[in-house]
Amino acid sequence: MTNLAIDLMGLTLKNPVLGASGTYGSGFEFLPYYDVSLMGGIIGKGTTLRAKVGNPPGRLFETSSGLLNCIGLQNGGVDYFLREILPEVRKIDTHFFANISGSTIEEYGILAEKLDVDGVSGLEVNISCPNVKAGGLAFGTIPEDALAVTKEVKRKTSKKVMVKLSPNVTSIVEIAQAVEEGGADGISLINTLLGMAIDVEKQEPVLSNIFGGLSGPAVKPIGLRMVYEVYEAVSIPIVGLGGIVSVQDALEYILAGATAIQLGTANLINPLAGSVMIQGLEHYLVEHQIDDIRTLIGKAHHKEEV
Amino acid sequence: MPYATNGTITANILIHEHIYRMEIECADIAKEAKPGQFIQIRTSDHLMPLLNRPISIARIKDNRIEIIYAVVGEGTKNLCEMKTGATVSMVGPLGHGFETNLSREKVLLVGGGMGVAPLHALAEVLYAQGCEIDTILGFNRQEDIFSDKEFEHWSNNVYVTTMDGSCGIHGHACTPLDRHLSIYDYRHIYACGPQPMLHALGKICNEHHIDCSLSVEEYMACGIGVCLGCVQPIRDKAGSISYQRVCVEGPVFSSREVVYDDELGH
Ligand SMILES: Cc1cc2nc3c(=O)[nH]c(=O)nc-3n(C[C@H](O)[C@H](O)[C@H](O)COP(=O)(O)OP(=O)(O)OC[C@H]3O[C@@H](n4cnc5c(N)ncnc54)[C@H](O)[C@@H]3O)c2cc1C
Ligand SMILES: Cc1cc2nc3c(=O)[nH]c(=O)nc-3n(C[C@H](O)[C@H](O)[C@H](O)COP(=O)(O)O)c2cc1C
Ligand code: FES
Repeated sequence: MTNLAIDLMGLTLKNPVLGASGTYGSGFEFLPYYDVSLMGGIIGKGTTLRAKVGNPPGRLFETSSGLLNCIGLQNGGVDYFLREILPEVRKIDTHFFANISGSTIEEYGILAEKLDVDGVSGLEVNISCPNVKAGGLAFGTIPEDALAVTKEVKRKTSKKVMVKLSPNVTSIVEIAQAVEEGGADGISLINTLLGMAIDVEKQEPVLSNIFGGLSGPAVKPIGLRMVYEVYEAVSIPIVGLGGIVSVQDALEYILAGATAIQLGTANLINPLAGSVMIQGLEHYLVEHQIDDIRTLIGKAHHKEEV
Repeated sequence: MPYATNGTITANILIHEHIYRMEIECADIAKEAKPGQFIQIRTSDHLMPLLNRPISIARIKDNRIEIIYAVVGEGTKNLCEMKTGATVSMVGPLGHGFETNLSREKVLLVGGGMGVAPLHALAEVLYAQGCEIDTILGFNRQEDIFSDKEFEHWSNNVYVTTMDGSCGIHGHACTPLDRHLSIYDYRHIYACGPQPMLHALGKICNEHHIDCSLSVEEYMACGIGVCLGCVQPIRDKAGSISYQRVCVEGPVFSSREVVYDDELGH
């Protein structure tokens, strides 16, 4: 028997495949396509203290093997989530992580406190969303702020806390170490890379927000490099994401040091991506006579030591 | 319920300049599809183009669906090169289509450019329900006209308009409307086409208190409601405006729900 189950921050996940924030709805949207409870976990869409209307249309644009988006964190706010969405989420038998985004340190704390409820396995703290002018980006780019947010969230919740890092920084390692010092139980990376596109006919930016976050296969080498770097610098578990579409992509991230992986843009191009990935990983392990997926975590590093 | 599934291409024919008609055998989608719904079709086995392309279901026949598409970029170019017998991967049927609970009523269909595509299935259903159909088809030039003959089968009257006046009535699809509305008493107007046309039509219908359904378009990624990328401002019954997903709450909205360009910023 091959084992796909993993331990993440003290939680047992059926497998290392999670749905990424903003690309997986609240999970149940995928129920017409496959049994979502097969997933290792679900990360909810970005939730803020108050409802957010989001950016005007002109929110998406496809680039070479990539996708630019400036959704602007449209969501009904945390109270709406608790009232309307969480009861549905509870019906799905897998770990659910709430993804939170604040515009002040206090807001992150209040969100953490409100979400310290049954049906939420843990929090993913988005300190990196590049779309929102007032929040997001600043916390994820300044080590002291990243540390302060982490500390505040940890103080206000009994749940496991993973902090999601922004790749739009000079030194990802510095930020990773700061959130570890702040008490994070885990780290996920990467969020989207800030980018843009210009319409040459209209001679103006394509996205309503001018800038947007780049995701998809185009960003994979960057995410992979960052996971590799962070693995050598921290001892808390890493959840890797950024451009993962194929089984090969997922394995690369795991070998670079990711305990688990998230599928983002992959869900948008194939609603079956989660189930296909789980089957693919299982198939790979059987083919390669590997008993336990956990033996692959960070293996790409060990070669150097021999 | 939508499916993520494969279909077999049973025809992929150039019907007109850059416009193709593809017929796909796919029982799952065909048996669920309603006029005005769409599919997300994969245009490549590779990661370029990355996203699936949203295309309206033009006709539904037994276990087949038909799409009519214009080649405008890489994705639709790939589609037109696909061969009969090939497998194509799709998600669908998606979205809220047209309400077709009318029978024996007088209705008007208005299609602009590629917006004519989804009106085929609609005309077929309304015709079968005994509705009296008038159709206005608007195109840029004479060379762009397609399906006018087909609509004659379902319609009492088919009016063609061209922007350059090279055929039919000179102007856009709403040009004949003023005259029509004073003569006929339409129970419902259904439309699909470019946004300026839909907005002009929607406002006219609101002024005349005629029920009107507009099928709108927006750039899409997932097509299944999870990315929130395809939104447009929509007014609810209480009058408050929020961004709603064209792929789930739409693509068909009532002309009373649509927020018109000149209202924005107020
Ligand atoms: C619900 C819905 C139904 C549609 N039904 C049909 C149909 O029945 N027949 C048909 O020919 N076309 C239809 N379209 C438009 C079709 O999706 C686009 O023409 C197609 O995605 C272009 O892909 P491409 O790769 O060929 O071109 P690209 O290179 O991707 O784009 C070419 C041009 O098309 C524009 N475009 C890209 N995606 C969209 C989009 N989702 N909506 C509008 N414009 C877009 C781009 O901005 C660009 O100007 C529909 C769109 C929607 C949202
Ligand atoms: C449409 C869209 C919306 C997103 N929304 C969020 C969000 O609300 N919160 C968040 O932390 N990340 C969000 N992300 C980032 C993804 O979770 C992920 O970090 C990023 O897309 C990289 O992974 P990928 O290449 O697999 O998509 C969003 C991404 C996309 C494409
Ligand atoms: S295209 Fe993703 S929500 Fe509509």
